[in-house]
Amino acid sequence: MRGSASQLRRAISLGLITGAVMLYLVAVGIVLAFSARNTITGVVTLGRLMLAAPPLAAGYVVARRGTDLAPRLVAGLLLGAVSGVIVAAALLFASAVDIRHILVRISPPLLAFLAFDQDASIGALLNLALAAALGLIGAVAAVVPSRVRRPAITGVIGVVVISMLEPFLRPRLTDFKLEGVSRFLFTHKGLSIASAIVVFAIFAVGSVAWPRVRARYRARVAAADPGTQATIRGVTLLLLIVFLLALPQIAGSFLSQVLVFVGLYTLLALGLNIVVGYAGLLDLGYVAFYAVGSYLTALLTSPISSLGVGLPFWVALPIVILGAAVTGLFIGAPVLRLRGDYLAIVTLGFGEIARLLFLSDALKPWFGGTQGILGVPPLFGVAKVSVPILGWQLTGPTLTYYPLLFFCVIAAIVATRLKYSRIGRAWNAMREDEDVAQATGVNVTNYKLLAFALGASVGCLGGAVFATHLASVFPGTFNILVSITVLSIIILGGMGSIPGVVVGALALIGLPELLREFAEFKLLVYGGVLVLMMLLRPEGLLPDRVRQQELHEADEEEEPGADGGALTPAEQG
Amino acid sequence: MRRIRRVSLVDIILLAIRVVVAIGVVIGTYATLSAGKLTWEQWRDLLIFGVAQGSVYALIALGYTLVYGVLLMINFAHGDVFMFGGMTAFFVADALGSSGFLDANPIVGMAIVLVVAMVSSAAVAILLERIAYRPLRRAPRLVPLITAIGASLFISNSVRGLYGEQVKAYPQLKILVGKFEIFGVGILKTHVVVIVSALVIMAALYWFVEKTRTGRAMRAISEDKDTAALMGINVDRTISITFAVGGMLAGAAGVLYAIVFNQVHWFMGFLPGIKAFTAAVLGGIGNIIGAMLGGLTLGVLESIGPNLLLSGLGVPSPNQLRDVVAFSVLVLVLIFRPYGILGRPENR
Amino acid sequence: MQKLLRWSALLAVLLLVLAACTSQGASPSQSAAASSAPPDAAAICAADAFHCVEVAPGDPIRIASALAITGDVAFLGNDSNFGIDVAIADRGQLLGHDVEIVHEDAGCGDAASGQTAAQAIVADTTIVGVIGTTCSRTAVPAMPVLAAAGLVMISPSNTAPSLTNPDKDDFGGPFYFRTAYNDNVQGAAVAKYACEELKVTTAATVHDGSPYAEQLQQVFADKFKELCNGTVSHQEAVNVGDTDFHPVLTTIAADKPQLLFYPIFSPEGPLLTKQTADVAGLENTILFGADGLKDGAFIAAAGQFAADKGMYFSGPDLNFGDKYTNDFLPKYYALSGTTTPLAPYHAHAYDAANILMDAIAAVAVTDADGNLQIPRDAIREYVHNLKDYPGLTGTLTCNENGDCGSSEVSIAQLKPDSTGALVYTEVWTTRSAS
Repeated sequence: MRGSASQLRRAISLGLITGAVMLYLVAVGIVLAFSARNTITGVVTLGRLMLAAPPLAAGYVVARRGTDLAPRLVAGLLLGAVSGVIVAAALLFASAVDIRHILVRISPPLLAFLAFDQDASIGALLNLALAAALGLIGAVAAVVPSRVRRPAITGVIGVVVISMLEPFLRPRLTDFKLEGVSRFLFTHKGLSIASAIVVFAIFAVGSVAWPRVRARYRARVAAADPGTQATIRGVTLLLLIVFLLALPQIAGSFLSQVLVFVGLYTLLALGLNIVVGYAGLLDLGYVAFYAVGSYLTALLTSPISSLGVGLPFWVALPIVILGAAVTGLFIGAPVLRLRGDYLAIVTLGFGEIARLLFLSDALKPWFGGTQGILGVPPLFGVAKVSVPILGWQLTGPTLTYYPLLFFCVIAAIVATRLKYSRIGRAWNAMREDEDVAQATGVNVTNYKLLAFALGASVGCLGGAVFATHLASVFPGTFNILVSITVLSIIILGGMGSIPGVVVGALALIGLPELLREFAEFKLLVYGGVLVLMMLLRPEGLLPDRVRQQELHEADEEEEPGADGGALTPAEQG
Repeated sequence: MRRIRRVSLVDIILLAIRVVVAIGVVIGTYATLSAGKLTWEQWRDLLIFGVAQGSVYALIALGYTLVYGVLLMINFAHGDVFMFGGMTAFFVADALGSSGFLDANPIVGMAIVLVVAMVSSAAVAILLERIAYRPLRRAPRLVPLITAIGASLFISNSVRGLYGEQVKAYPQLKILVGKFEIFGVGILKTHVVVIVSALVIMAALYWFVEKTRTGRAMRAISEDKDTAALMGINVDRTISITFAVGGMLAGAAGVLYAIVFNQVHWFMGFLPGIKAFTAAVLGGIGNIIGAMLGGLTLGVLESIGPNLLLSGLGVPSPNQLRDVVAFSVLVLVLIFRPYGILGRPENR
Repeated sequence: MQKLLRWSALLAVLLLVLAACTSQGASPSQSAAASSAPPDAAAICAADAFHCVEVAPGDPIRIASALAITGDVAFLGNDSNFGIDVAIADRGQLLGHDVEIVHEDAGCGDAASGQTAAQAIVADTTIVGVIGTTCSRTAVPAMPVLAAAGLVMISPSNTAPSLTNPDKDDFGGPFYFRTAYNDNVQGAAVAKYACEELKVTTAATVHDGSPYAEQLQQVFADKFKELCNGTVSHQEAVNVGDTDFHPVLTTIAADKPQLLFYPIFSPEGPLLTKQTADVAGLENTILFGADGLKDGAFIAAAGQFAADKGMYFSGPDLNFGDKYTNDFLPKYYALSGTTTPLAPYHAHAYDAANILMDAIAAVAVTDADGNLQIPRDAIREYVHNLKDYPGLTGTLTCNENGDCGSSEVSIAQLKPDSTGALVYTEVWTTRSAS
């Protein structure tokens, strides 16, 4: 009895928080913006789903505890009702008092949306009822066994993701003469009710079937003899290569453009990973190398730059990389003796210095000042390449993709080889404890400089590709957000982990590009993701083994349960 | 043999940097002064402007340094806490200003605005600590720094969404228009206010940390969290108080910023935040007097540096390069003194 | 009578279409303009260099905007987007279809985002045309992508002269148009006003490192030397995000210029304006801003000071007449929730959107299945040949390089209106001067 009373108290306080979160989402404008996207046309929009998520999730959380069925469901209902009361009260208040001069997004269309296009008082009641129902549904989800819950959740996620991908899927389906599929799936920027049911069913069934298929496959591979296993690995690798090579043709020009930026940031992150992930030197000014690479390339290859030599890209590239390594040494040398936070601020300063010098009127005769350098030729000197047998026409992003893929693979191989070499172990030791490393004979100065020079070279390579892809360079590109983004990619993916870098770049560069209409909220969501990630899974999405153990060590000192729960699952993979 | 060569490579680069900088400074200064474009009075004014701007940096840097001193973490979002206070108080200031209350009772009016700013900034800072930083207290140092960067993006973009992206103009206080004559030198009243406030707030903070019970608890936590807990210090509460005080400082800085510059916007936390961070490191992060010193140094450098060093060399638009000068000096200072002007080596 | 006219028009169209089919070079746009039901849509689409966009009955006609809606100049992009939204709402339906706008973010500082926005637009083959970009720099990498897909882009606020100069490397090309005027016009007008009306002989300039401000002050400086034999004592620069401008003003004050031209934006602009009062040597200097400072934020932050100082502002001639004040602005405010415009390019965006919709209305044809077919190259041709279009910003005619903007520049000062509120009041225009 007492247990259920405390559960109800918890439901009320969580309900208050949930209501506040809902109000925040509404007031910050993200709900109305996303309501322009239909998830199921005529039934529910992405904005409506976004507003429904907090009570659902909180209802689930509050009902997870406890043994008796009734109090758990009541807690969910109560929580939903409390959050609904808050939203309803806010709706009535905002309808009566104009607070738009403070909270600029509380506009009449927003209020109409919130009130389901009804009168404010009816709208308030609807909100109350809906939130209570959602809280209850969340609680039901917590009560039912996971073999029911998991397919249901996967199905819902599938519906949301497919509907979100509509702007990209529809044109691609049309290009591949699958207009029938496209017509069936999408009606006016969303799924139809029928197609939503089908998508839901496919994903729900898939979530049940997939683990079984995978387990059976793994068991069979494990049972096979070593020769067969090697063959399977070889075939898998071959399939992966073929897939990567064919990807731009499947993806189309826009998604290829996204892929180019994902690749570009993967390259940058691979470089920064050497500095931060391996050597443990926090560099907040990585953009400096990116900028140096871009500008060097533009100077050397553009016939209308101040140098005006117009070298071919592949001739200029060694010079660019050499210049980059020298820059890395010159930036690295003064900061060698600094540690931790001092290093962070100094490198941040170097990043700003680089940007300002390229921007400045003082160096305009060389770098073009704010007007930048134009006329950078494309990578192979021609804008269009035809692939003979396959009949592909490569241009723009579909053309840049291939050399970029090549560079990424090279950088990844070099990084992997380094990691498990003598140098990598020295870095490891240095990162763990610099003084001890020094005492055991690791030449800290040289290894630090090496890390900076290598990181700089890879960063410059990224810059070089960027300059040719854009056919121009402008100083405005190279701001501190680039450094922060690259750092975040490493953190999100998992420091020191190469697959993690790719996943991080896909999530932080790829995903926002797919939601371009809502670019306004990109940095907001991005900031929120960084915080949540650090709280829930600090070792990253695809963590490096060693790194994960380091984090676990720190964890064991603390009492279990605080945030240890979130740290477990990755080991299974 | 290897060791000697290794050291000399770095040293040669450092020596080269020093020689180039020294020659540049000497020639630039000589050329500027011999050209004699600016009068002595103009140099003096530049110094005062620099001190005023530096005081704003110092005010924000105090919050950085306080949190760093206790938790040894960089609260990258501090600049946005500062912005939030200034933005929220704007609505109160605007209401008071348009109703005429602010001009009738400037002291009371500004006190209300100040309290609103300090309370709202402190609230954000406490929430930030509770939600984002507390669970990460034992994580490796990079983790809370990334969290702080994320929080910075989140707060500034939330404010943009909630309050809109337009620049908002603070009402101008009539009593703060014009100049004070101090020793025959005219100084803007707003500048006097901000310089004096910075000094007073610094002194108060110093007193708080050094003399009060809570301050002692903070210093104890800074030395060793676990031992402090064993000695009966409520670590969570003390850290919350640290953030609250840091937030209040940021809120006060937000209002002073608004008084000097008369406008606030959602992006205003970013650059001053980075500058204040620089100032705190320059002065020796964790050191309260160092933060003040670092802020003033940075402000004066930005104000005088480009004119003194670059204009004599015939560099076009020298003021565009003020941040280059400021960050270069930071790098040089840290080469000679790796822990800042007043800092001491970390005990780890 | 009317019936007769219609039939004869139809006959003429048929003949023209037949002619177009036989001689492929002929323009289909002229023929399509006259009617909405020629039977030979397929031929028109086949003849068009970039074929047609098909719009099924009930589907909307989709256009895109590629403006800066994030970052520190988001107010510019939002301002233009509100202008476009008003234009679409005013239009209601176009040829029996709704018009839908897809808002892409082309950013401002980072040229890459302009290219990506263009790729995103091109990937969606239902999009007919583009309004954008906000900043000239983002237009440069966007144009080759759009042109390759046959999409017209009309910019409400690009002012870089080279975009419509075929001799330059960043020339926008045949698919690029703008309703904004070009910096050469504004820079020259300011120089002319400075020496002829204000009779000054020395000036200084400040820019903020944006390509726009840097270019505009350069044009001004060149014209000021050329037209009036004036001296430009300083061409200084500041950084976006700076708050203390006393040092740069002190540098400038050393030569006591008679005029200071700083085509920068808020929040730096109002700060710099007010800080001129604190620096000895600038007491008699005439302050001169540009369109970047003609917004509500400037009035609120430094309006009274600028009015007392008699500061001048150059900008597009915003005397757009009664329709602008009484019809357009209230609708704009209803969308923006503000009481002053966010920036001065909303009317240009309104015109750009209307020109694009007019072009669609003129060239679209309905095919046998009732689908609307919109030939892409015909849109370019329609805009290219635009003449004496009665827009909100004036009477617009596109020249062969894509400049469609009314080239009238006004010089304004802040003066109180009948209610005592400060408004930008025109004191001189190129129209009245010539």
